[in-house]
Amino acid sequence: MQTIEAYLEEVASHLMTDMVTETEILREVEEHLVEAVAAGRAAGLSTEEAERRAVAQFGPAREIAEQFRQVHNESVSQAVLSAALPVLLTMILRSAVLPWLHSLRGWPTGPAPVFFTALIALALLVPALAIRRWRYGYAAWAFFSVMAILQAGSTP
Amino acid sequence: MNSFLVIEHILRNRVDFFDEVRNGNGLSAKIRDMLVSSCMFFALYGLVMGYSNSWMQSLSSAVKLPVLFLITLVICLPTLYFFNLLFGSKLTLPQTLALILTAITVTAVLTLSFAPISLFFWLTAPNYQFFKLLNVGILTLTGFFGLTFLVQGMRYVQHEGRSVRTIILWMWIFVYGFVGTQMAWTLRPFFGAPELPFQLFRQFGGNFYVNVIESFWGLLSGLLR
Repeated sequence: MQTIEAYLEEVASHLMTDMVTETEILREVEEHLVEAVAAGRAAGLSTEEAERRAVAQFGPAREIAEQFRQVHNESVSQAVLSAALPVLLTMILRSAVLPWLHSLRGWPTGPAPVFFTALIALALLVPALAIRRWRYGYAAWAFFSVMAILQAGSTP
Repeated sequence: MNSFLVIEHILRNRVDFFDEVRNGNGLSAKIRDMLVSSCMFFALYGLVMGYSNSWMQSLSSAVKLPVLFLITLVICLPTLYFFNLLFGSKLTLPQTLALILTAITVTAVLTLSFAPISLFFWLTAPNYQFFKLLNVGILTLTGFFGLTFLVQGMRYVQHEGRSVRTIILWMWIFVYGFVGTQMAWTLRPFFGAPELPFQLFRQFGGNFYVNVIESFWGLLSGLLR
């Protein structure tokens, strides 16, 4: 038997989504549980017993996490991020990061495949590690970032 | 992020949404969410529009694009409300506002979905005239599809005297488009030619339609040369 806090922790451990979505999902689950506890208390149960019953009725944490993840991953928020983030990151990369790198003394003057391969690998790796569930936007970011880096490499 | 849920509600279940507007359920929250999300989406797209010139232009367009739609809304809202009232509509001002904002929100999310395409063309074929026409085309297309939501919403929410009010609505849409384009011209530049320095506003004079035709001819003559 679990308390609400422990149950929420278990749901969070199965979510595997970004922090904003995770917070939203946990808030939603908590609201449901608090309502169920209030109903249990109104029916004459102790707080502990009402919490245990609410958690048990809500379902296994892993299944609940999976259901919420599916719903939220299909949400408009994901689509909006997929359209906006690659564009914003590419604009920052192309207008700020690449010119800054260019201004450094280490920027290769001629073709330097190792340098640009490392730069592309870094651009692909950092968002992949930072935003684990960002599948659709990541593909767009991969395309734009590689193109911006290759463009920078081809200009003197 | 919660404000984005209103988009899901409008796009996936528009009948429910219009039902709630008709019954006045949660109108304030809907209006707030639509304002927040449409401003954010237009701001993001504004960043891309101004990218042809400079970062300053990007930031300026990120502010000006939402302002353009909101000021046009403020200017045109009373016209639709009072003309509807004149012909027997029972719609309140918040309901009318919610329906127009539905159109603006749909326009905004559709416009944002074009942001990667717009950036793609600027990165691969950085031709200013083409970029300008492409974005005008995108905003026209998304604006058209956004306004179809207004037409659907008005038809659904108002039962009686629909034929007269549909004519009024189409006339209002025409006026709204006309005011919107003039407002866009007044608030220009949104793009900014790459060779020109950043400007917050330009001098009054000229008009939107002449400039679009000039851009078209400029692009065409460049292609034929």
